[in-house]
Amino acid sequence: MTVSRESYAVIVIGGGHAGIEAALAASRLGKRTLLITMKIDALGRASCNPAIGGLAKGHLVREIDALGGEMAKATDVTGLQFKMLNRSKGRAVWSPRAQIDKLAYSAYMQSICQAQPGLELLEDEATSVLVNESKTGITGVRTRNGVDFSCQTLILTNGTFLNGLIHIGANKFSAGRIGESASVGLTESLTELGFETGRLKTGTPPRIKRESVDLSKTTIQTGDANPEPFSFSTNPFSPPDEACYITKTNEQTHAIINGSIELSPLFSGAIKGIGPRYCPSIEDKVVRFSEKSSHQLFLEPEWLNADQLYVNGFSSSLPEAVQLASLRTVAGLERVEFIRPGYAVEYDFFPPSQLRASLETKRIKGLFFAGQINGTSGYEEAAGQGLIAGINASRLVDGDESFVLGRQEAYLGVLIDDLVTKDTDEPYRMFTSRAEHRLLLRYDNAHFRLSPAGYSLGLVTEARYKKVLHDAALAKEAEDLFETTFIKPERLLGLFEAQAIIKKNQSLANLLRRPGVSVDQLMPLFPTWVKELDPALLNLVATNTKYQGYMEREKLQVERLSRHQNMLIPEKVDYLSMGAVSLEARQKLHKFRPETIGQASRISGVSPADISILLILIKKLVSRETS
Amino acid sequence: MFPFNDDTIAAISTPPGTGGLAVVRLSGPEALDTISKLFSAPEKLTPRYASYGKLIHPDLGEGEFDDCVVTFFKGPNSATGEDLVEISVHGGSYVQQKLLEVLLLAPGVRIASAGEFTFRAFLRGRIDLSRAEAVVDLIHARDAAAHKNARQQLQGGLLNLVGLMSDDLIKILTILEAELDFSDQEIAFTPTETHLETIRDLKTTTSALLETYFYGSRLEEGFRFPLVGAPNSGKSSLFNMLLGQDRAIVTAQPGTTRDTIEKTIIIAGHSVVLVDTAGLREAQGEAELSGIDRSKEEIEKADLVILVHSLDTEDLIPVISENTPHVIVYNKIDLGPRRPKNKDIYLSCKTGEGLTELKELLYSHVINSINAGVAGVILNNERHRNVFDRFGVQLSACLLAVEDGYGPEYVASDIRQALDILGEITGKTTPEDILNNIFSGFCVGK
Repeated sequence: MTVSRESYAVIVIGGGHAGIEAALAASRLGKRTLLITMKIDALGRASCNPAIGGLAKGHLVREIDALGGEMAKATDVTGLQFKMLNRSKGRAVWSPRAQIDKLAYSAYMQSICQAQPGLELLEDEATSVLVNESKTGITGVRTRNGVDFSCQTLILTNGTFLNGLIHIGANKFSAGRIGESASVGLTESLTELGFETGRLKTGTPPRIKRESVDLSKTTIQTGDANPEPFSFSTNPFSPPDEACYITKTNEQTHAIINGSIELSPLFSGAIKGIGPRYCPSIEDKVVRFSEKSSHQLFLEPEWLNADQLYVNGFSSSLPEAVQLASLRTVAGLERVEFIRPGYAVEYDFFPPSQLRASLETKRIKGLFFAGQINGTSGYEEAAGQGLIAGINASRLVDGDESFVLGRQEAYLGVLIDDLVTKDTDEPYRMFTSRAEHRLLLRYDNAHFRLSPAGYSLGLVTEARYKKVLHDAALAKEAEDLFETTFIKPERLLGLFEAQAIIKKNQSLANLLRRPGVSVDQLMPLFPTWVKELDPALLNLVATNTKYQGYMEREKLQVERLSRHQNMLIPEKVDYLSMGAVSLEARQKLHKFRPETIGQASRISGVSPADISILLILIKKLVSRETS
Repeated sequence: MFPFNDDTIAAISTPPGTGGLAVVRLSGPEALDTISKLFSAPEKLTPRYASYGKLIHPDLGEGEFDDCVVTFFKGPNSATGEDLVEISVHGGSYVQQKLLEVLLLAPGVRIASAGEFTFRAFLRGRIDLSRAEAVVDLIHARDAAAHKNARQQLQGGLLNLVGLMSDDLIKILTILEAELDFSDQEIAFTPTETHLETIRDLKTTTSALLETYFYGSRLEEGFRFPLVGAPNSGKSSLFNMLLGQDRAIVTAQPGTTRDTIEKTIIIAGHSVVLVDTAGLREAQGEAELSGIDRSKEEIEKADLVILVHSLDTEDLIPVISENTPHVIVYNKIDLGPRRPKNKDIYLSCKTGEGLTELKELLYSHVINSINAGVAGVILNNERHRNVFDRFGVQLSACLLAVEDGYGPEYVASDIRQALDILGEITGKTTPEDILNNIFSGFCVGK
């Protein structure tokens, strides 16, 4: 028997990183929102590594912050160690990463969600989606407890829970995460509506007892001396600097793994889902890179003063005994004891070609998917999608057009565009190399890029927006000053090595553009107000100036993107009958049903000639419809 | 790539080969600006009026290029619906190609793809909707033809060579990207300087390829082998013998051939234009004089000059520059004294003796010219030449970035740019390709 309950504007299923951002965004935009999770205590739980950010992912977190999301703030508050990666390279590819206190992170998110006006939390499990008679629009969701909730929009963020199946050696059992049940029924209710589904796999390493480790045999790794926060709002910032420990596997470790390789469900064929190549299990690494006699392992604290450590680099689905025996060959881990072994989990996902760039499904109006359900991996990728889905669900309720970021605007834009135009054959993770406008999409300019959008959406406060505008104006002023201030050669004495070859007056900008010259070396030449600029802002100005040629080239490429990029394709186009379009392109277009010409052009197998023909046929179709 | 730009496109609009007139079209926002800088009378360019003037070649200067008639159509009242310039020049592949080459050097101008002018006309509403299907068919057909053409050209090894060049860059890019995306992992990175040698080698190959374009264009138009010599040395007889037909007028009167006569034969599968020229001597009349001018011009353009000398005269063998490839043919051995042994050809048009030797020599000249390419590849297409031109410039940018110690993200940006240019021939290298390389080559993942 089902009971009908009152209606919500937005219902979010799942309380992971995607669900939280979705629910917070929708409720902050004034929508009556319900978040249904199987366990309120597990809100914002980090299922895998105790870290946020990292290469490319750090960019995502900064962008989420610029658009008014929560992840960056939560990381700043609960971070244990902060490190800027790629510091030896240019700022375009610097990316912040933090070790977090998982317990504190989850508690922070719970308290934020509980305190959020307009957001209700419910412990239950969604078992089927409810749609209108024509099966074209969402009407609500049914739960395990037999309640029907009606809603205008529904956001599914089920993570690895849909028909989740955990593997440890030959042992397999139904679960979403270790110790938490899988979610059963929802996938079936969606496939009945015509959704296509697939299986993916991911894994996690063992958690070990800290007291069983001889840390003196490991190398200590600490964070930055002057850490930078993730959030633009965090001030002041004085986080702890908890150590991580590095050790490594050896030939003996590998021999034990090799000796039991057939016991791994990955190699026995028990696991059908495809796992990520960038995050391989230890058995995968040992087999595929047999020439390497050693692999690094990072022992990371799960929380402050934790009794347990996370063995980063040792994800495995081997039997527990094999995991333990092989780890005990590693320096420092000779007497290691497990809190729990590593495991692999297989789960249902829905190929994201079934989504619009708003993350609304093409099939059912008002139904949105975000996070791992779309075949992505990573907390940051999930949170970013959750934020966008929450924003767009809210906008749909208001009848506003959806908020879509371009590939040239944000990593979030690259992420979602990749999802809706590319075939997923492994869990999708963000990399800086996926962003063709990487040099423009820097972590240090995320707020300049996205705060205007965050503000006009209503998720960024006026005060913060004004601060961003103020900083942008200062940056512009400093850039202009660099271009227009000329320095006499004699003033360069002792500032940098090759100064002797400079014979004529040079602008500060041109001096900075010389190979090997840094902004710090030129500091004595700056007026006081520039010297006193926030170092992060001054460095942003320096990067813009030094690499201006590259920035200009990328901007030009962005400008050259055709105006047809955003031309909408009518939904009912019959691609299969377009004889002049190549067969492969017809089939791909039919499968992906792109929303815009830009999306169509990024589908593999669709050639420029196909696009030209498509443009003509669509133009004809549209004019026939309007006449 | 054509739907993605609102840039300016250029192409030769008349059929390929040598015709009386050739029309080169230029369409897009930069059309007027571009031609104004290359035309001797830019002030005359009024919409819808044809203006006569001279083309100014940036290297050769005014008057050294060609006369032309330029007609400017202001958008939207033009065939393409945007600013359109039509430049009519004298027929002859050399002039058209040279003009196109110069246009493509202008900023914002690129070569048009198959069907692109028509496509733009359609998009800007210059072609009726009812003709949409026709435009579709046209693009489809031209694309298919262009593909076939490209495939044929690529079979000659260009695809292979470009593939190898791409691979070299992809290798570098893979290392750079691995370093950028996985710097927190245990990957032994290569200092950027180690890539210098590869990039320099690529640049050398590119320059060498660009130099083959001369031969390449010859492949299209045919090699030019003029027959040159004193009057009545038997040039026309030899011309006829090589052709196997009576094309030229043959008489015993000196100076019969007053103009040049040309005819194409096939040697080693390639077109060779044989040119029968007027005899080189002090001319008697007006007509002959201009014929002799033409002969001199032919010598300049020649791939191989066949110098014909009759053994029955006391005439001196005409002097020809060492730098001009030539073969001396001693004709009329049936009349004259027997010859001393050396490399040149002795033949008799009457008996046919020596003809086989001459044909073999011509054959090996053609073959050697073809083999002058890079790894057997010769650029014979303006589109490809243009690609390598830009590729070379981009490689220089890569070199500069590495030498100046720019970070891997900037070098990678330059390399991606270079790969995109090569991609116009081979197809695009996607980020996914690079990631695949990283995953198969490096053990990444914690």
